[in-house]
Amino acid sequence: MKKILIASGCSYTDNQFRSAAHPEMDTSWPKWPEIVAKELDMTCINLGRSGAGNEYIYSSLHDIILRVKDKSQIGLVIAGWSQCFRHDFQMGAMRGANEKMGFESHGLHFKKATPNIDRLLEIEDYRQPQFNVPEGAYNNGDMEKPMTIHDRLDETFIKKAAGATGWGNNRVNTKGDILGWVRKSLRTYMDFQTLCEYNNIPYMQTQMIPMYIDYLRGLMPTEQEAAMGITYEDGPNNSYDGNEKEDEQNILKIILEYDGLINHDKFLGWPISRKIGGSPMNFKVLGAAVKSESPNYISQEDGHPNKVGQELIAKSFLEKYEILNS
Amino acid sequence: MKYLIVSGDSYTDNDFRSSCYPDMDVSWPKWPELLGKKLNMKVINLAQAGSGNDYIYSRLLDTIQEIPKEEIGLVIAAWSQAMRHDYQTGELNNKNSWRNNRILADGDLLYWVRRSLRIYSSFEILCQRYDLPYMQFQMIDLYKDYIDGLPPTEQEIIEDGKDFYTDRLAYPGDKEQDELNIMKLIMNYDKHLDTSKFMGWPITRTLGGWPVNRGVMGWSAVEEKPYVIDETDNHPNAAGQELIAKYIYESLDV
Repeated sequence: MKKILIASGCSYTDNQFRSAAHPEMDTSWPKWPEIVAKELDMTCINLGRSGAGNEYIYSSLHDIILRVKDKSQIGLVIAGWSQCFRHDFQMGAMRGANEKMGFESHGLHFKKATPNIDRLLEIEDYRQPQFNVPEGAYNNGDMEKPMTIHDRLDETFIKKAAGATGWGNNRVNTKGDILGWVRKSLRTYMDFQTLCEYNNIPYMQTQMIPMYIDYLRGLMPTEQEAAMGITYEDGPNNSYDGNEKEDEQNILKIILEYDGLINHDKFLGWPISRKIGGSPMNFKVLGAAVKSESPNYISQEDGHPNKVGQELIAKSFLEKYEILNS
Repeated sequence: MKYLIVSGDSYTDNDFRSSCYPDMDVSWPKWPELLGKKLNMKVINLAQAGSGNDYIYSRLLDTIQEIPKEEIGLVIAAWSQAMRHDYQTGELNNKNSWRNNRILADGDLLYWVRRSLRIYSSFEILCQRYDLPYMQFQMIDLYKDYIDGLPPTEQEIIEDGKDFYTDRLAYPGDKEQDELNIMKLIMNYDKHLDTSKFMGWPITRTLGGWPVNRGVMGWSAVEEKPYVIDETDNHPNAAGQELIAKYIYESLDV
């Protein structure tokens, strides 16, 4: 039986990613988790979700890891961390997902209350036709694209079965400040590391996109807002209301507090900021140059990795995996 | 002498002040200090009144990371309500850098319960990973106060004249269905947590568990009367703190 690769992250990882700047574009090219899994001959469970913050990423990984009884079935777990200021929350987490999935509960019969993740592990390849997706699994209301898009429906089933549904997010947390959010994210990275190490699960993590810098520089309109002609020129969103330089120094100090705690070998790009010798994955692998001049991004308007970009990210993980296992 | 590291909310806070009786001397020893004496350990009490489970866990995590593991004798998490929202501001990383709201602004009760259960799991994994002796328990009920209609705070009752019963916040969901779902969520963690280290598991009376304030001091106003400040402020008094410390001590395999 194949081992499984579990990945979670934001839009860079989401295999249902759609371009807000180019809504009609077919973005169904394989994403890095699928490419890495294929190369390593593992079954892929990709929990990436556009817009997600680090709480979602950790929670989705935590929940599925807990549910795999035999942890040796897990070949690799990868967390592609997002921006620290995003705010994740869940709504109706039990009401919708499980019951639509055909895993209805009856009174207090708890064992039927959650989707049986073992079903995912028993199959050789969940993309094969013999994989029997329960009736109703497609009917989750977000199936706007036709089935021609890269295994979209099966992937939705995977997320549901993993319990990674019902999540919403805000672009910016309304409580706390950037220093508190950085600390919160770093604790989350430690929790992920501890979870994997305790269970003896092979893992890697990376800061997929910059953790804090976009917020310090003043948030730009999202790609969707830009496409709608929305600017932040007159609003409160375009400037940081703290002391940018001083707070960045404090953030760097906070990151370095974790230098002795984070396993550097398994954290690609640690210590995550270029100012202290690290780098977010997207800068390092795709290049931080003007997006229109890079062959690795979708376009100047959409800074997500295109097909080549996804392959480059996958290559980075594969090279690291080889080093870790040599 | 090893460290006893404890975190929790107002029931555990060494600096607890009664919001009903601001002038009351409430400086009686709290259970962590009493327990520390019984165990002959130095106490690090991280608890803060009003805090939620994010605060409780984060402060434990930060402290555990700072102290050589061989110097840690016992770690105890005394969990609070699921709906509380903790957040941090400023460059310092201490008790004073944390703030809290009584209710999280986003999500719903099911999410808040899930979130708390993940935190309990993360705490257990952290302690097991470093082979630290630990114990956890639900100090006050995880969700019941919210689903039954959140009563006004003691301060709101005293200062604003709100009524404990008539001024409750109505639960915005389907109480019966949601409580059933919460039971399922809790029972789902039955196989993920070492329940022998979780006093009062499965934390809610409906499932046969109990939060410590109820399980130890009593389920009714009559039962708890000798152990709480009074009927308006039901935080443990000196006798209540001693009872909690005694109960925890006897529950430990020492």
